[in-house]
Amino acid sequence: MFSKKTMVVAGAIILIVLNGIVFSFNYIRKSSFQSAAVQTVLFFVAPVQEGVSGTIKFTEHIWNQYFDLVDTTRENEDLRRQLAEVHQQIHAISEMAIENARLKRFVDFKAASTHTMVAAAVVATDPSPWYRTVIINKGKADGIEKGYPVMVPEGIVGQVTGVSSGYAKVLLIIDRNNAVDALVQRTRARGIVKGMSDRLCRFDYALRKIDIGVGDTAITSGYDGIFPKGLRIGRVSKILRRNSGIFQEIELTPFVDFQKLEEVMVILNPPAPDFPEE
Amino acid sequence: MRYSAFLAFSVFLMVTQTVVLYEMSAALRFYDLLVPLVIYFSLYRPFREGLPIILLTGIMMDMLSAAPIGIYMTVYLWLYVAFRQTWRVIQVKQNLLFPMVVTAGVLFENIVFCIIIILQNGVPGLFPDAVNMIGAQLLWAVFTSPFMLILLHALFQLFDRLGAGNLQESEQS
Repeated sequence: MFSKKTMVVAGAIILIVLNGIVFSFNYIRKSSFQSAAVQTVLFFVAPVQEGVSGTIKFTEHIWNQYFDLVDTTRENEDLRRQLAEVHQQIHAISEMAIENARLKRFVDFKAASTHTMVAAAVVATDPSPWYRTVIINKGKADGIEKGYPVMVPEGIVGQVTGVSSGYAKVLLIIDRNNAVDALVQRTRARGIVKGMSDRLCRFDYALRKIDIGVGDTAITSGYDGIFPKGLRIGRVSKILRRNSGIFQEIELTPFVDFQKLEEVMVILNPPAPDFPEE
Repeated sequence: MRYSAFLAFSVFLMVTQTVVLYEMSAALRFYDLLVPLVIYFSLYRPFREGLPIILLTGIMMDMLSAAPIGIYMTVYLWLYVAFRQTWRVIQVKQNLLFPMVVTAGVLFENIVFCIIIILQNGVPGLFPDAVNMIGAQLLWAVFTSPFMLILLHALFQLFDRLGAGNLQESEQS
């Protein structure tokens, strides 16, 4: 009855008119039909939308969190590494500061001293716990000879008992085979300081009648021909006066901490023995 | 070659004793690490291997220490000979007995040192805490000598393999 072309044109016109009618609803009072339609659509579609949106957000959240976690873990590792490095640096700096202070004391001491000295590092100790020697990293090549005195700013350490071209063996004053001619600084009482143990010495041959008290300082007398006069040895820590016998027993705590001996000074021009005038 | 390896290992033990243990703590009071080596040579190795190494090691230790010259060499020789004779009578070669044997060796060495010190300086010459010092060494010996035995077994097996390899090479050439 109608041609195909006519049908298409008519359909288009109807659609346009309907569209116009629908659009015209926006300009007239909203009908209950419209709101019911909106509600119906929302009722069916919105939950799905919400679900999908939630899933996407959840996935996105998980995804981001995973990557955040990976980043955080990586960052954490970096920070830990940096922290370890900083700790190492702080340790190195504090160690350097301690070494610096120790060496400064050595330099000051050396500058103030009238003796020619050479500084050396302690590299090893005696293999036997019964004897007290250390090996230092300076020897004949540095002018060190057997019998030279060894000290640190705190006091005397010992004497060289063996020497090679690059190393020397030092017998510490706490070794029982070592003996140093000494004076009590306050009373000028003379005696011999001998090694006794890990940390102690004995002050032998001090007469009973001589006044020596706990806390008195013992110094080298210079009569033994090894140590120059006036070097600090240790402090009197215990006195025992027996009723019998002509000498008192005196325990001496050296000023030098032999457990922490790291660097020492060897006196290269020990003076000739300073014997008392008759 | 083999003797050089033995000697290098002895020097390694000496350095450990005089430097590493000292750096760790001077108050450790560890026993003489050469004693287990001497006993190992005595119990497990042939005479021609043990004797020269022990003599050289003893001399080196004497040179390093302030102890009277010859004391280490003498102690090592006595230990070597004593345990070499002992294992013919008692089965001290059992691994389980090794800690006891080493402890006995350490005790023997300390007694010799004490006798020498008393002869030189009298009884007051001994450290006030001599008993503690010996006790600490013996305890160290009891607990660490099994590890020393494992180390020595492994090392000497390695030395033997290297030695056998060298022998084959020289025979082939």
